Amino acid sequence: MFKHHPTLKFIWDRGIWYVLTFLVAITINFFLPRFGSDPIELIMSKQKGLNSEQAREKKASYMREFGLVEVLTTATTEDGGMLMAPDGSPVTFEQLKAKNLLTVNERKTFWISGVTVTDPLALKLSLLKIIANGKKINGFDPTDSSVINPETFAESIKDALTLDEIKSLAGITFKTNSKLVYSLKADELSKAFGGPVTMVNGEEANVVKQNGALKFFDNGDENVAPALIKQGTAIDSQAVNITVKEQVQYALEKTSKGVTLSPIRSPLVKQYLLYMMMTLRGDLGTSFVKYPEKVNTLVMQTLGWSIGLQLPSIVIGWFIGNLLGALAAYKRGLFDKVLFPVALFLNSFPFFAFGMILIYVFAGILPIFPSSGGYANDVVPGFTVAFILSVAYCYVLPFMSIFPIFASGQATGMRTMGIYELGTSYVKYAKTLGIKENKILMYIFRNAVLPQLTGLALMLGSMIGGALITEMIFSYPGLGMALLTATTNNDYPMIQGSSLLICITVLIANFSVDVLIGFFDPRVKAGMSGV
Amino acid sequence: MATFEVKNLSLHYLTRFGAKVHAVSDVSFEMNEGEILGIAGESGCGKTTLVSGLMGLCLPPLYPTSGDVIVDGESLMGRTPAEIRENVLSRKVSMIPQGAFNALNPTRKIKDLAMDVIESHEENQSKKAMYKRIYDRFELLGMDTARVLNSFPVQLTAGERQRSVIGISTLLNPKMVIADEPTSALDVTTQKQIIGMIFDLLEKKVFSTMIFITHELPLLRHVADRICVMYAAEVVELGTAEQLVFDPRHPYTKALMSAMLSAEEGAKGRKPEAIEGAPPNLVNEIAGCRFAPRCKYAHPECKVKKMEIRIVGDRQVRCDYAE
Ligand SMILES: Nc1ncnc2c1ncn2[C@@H]1O[C@H](COP(=O)(O)OP(=O)(O)O)[C@@H](O)[C@H]1O
Ligand SMILES: [Mg+2]
Repeated sequence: MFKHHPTLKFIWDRGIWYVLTFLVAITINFFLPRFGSDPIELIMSKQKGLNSEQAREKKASYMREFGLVEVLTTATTEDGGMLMAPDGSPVTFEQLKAKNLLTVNERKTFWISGVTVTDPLALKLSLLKIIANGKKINGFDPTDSSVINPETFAESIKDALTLDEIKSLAGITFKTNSKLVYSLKADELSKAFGGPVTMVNGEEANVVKQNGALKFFDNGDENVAPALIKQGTAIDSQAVNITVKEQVQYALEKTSKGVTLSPIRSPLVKQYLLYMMMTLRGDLGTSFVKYPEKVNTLVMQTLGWSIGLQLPSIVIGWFIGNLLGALAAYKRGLFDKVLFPVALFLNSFPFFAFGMILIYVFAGILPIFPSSGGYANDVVPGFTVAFILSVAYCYVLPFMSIFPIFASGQATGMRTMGIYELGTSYVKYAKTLGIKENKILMYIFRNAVLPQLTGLALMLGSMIGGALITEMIFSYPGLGMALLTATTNNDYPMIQGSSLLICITVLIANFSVDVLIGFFDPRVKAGMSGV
Repeated sequence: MATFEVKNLSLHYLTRFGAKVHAVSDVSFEMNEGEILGIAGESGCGKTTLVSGLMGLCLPPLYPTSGDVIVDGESLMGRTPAEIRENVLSRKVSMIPQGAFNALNPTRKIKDLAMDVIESHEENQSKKAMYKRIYDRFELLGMDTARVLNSFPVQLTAGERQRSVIGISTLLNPKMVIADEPTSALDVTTQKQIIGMIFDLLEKKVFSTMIFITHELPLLRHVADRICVMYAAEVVELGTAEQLVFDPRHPYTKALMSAMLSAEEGAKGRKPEAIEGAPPNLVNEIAGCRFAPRCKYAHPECKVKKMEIRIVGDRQVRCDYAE
């Protein structure tokens, strides 16, 4: 592919691997919570004060959000009833569609759900015209001088008048139902299913026999007789409105406590595909703990804090670190002798240990700075001076726990690169040519800084997940803290979502570096164009 | 007066642990305008180090021990690096380095490197004028000039890189060009082309005087007017190309020539003779003749008596028993 576009081919070749890695990451993410104890049971065991039915519903909705259970898309009538085929199985929306039974009836889109009379006289005049043509409208008395009651009026004209006649009425406005509603005709329905299709209705739960297994439907009740559609009824003018409803399927399960209803689990492959599709759509799922908040929204709330903490540390650290490192490589002498060991020492220091020392010294021994939080408890978040000052004040310690360590890492790297470049043949040759010192220095800096740029891009990529531990230590309200909270609360979707997000940003950063370095570095570029 | 004079030049490297490696020891020779001197010797005998000395560019850890190099009557030793850079390098003495691939800055286009050379020595040059000058010079080298100039080193072939290096090194018409094994990393065909090109430049008077360094003696026979053979940091024999190739006097030159010639004629069934043993360590003070341990003709006193350069006929030999 892309034989004649070396650059595109290069990007494609690399890109493929990143996409594969991403899919592997999703797969791992999918399987991890499936080892060991069941996350759903874990989260359910933390739920208190629910009766068995509430618990069952809650569990079902968790499982549904998690993509674990069989969900049936059923055709549901407007009053919550469900259609049932002659064999007792629920009629699904897909079946109706496949059998071509659904029509979008114009009358349905003009469904009269409310009438407001704006001009009673005009209305009466137009009704009189229609009655003069031989129509009968029940409950309408032209001699009655009282105001027309919109409720009863809507009912009385609905069946008596044609659509055109209703539309021709003057002096009233209709509230029409704009929701897309499907309609179907009972006789066709029965024909298509080879027997009477019945309607199960009502609020009570019901267990329906199907294929030997027991399936449970939230809104079904066998005892309420098939009501709405009667076999043989002419429904030309009386179609049934259908809406789509998703329902979790249940099965009876025998436990030590007796027989209970439990949601039917989907096969693993189906769960996997569901999870994959959901992730690819950008949906990270729903939090267990903050149900029904989506993980996406929760993550977004924390992201700003994480980036705010990391971005300045990385960018400033990169500049200062490289500057110091280049100076040390070039000047050597005392400057290098002091800077290098200090940088090495800091660089080998773990972020969290440094953070804890800072807390101990500057929040403990000398209580100058707050030890935790993103802002003080007594200020309200918003664009106020007090809030911004508070944020800045709380920012000092976390920032200082990352910045010096990152800067010293860059400095040692740059120093080594610089010293290496100083000893290369091209520098020696440039010197024998008598090229000016500052030009040679520029060569060195440019060539040494290229790999450092890679480091910068990679750090930016791992930024949102880079300071997890720092955030935990300082209780900083970023993604790290959210991840910690999620972990202690067994909020699996939140854990999965955040780690996947971290993984994606790292992948994107790596990919960008891979491609960009090809454009910046002629050494790699030549390899790209195949010279 | 000779244009190029090397007087008893000795150079040493100072290693990290304070030891001195005497890589060039008491080297003297003179060269006149238009002359080509070949320097031959095994790897590690100090050829490349000598080149640094000849340019007056002793960068740490290399330091001058004693002696001097005189170009056009001006001494190079004892001058500041800034002065050397400005007045000597590229203008008077220029080097064509060993291994052209690593010699070119990988992130700089050939034309930019060439412009840097001009800008470093001449003020207020317009980019356009410089490019024209570089272009014209590179045309002489017989390449796809526009493409080469606008390429990064990795985009060029080994031959093109070597040519570019030659073009850049001779850009400011230096008096003296020192080619340090310019062809050692190339295949035979490219080698021949490059050598042809160097001599083409000589013919076109881009430069006139040259030192050609190689470990391949047979090559020197065709190229050089005079040949200087080095062994363990010292000059062991210096004479005309004819003299050294067909009538070597120093035992090392003899051994080297017979090894080389037999290698050349190897196809005819003669086995090339390797010289037994290894050259001495240059850190230690060496009493006596440095070649003595490997010398077929060594006398007992050779190992203790220091050999000085002698004039034998019209050549120089560092062997008391050569005649
Ligand atoms: N930077 C250095 N430090 C110490 N010794 C060196 C250094 N460079 C070269 N030498 C030594 O100096 C001697 C001469 O090296 P060189 O001039 O490169 O030889 P040639 O070019 O003839 O192969 C060798 O023995 C080598 O080990
Ligand atoms: Mg060498």
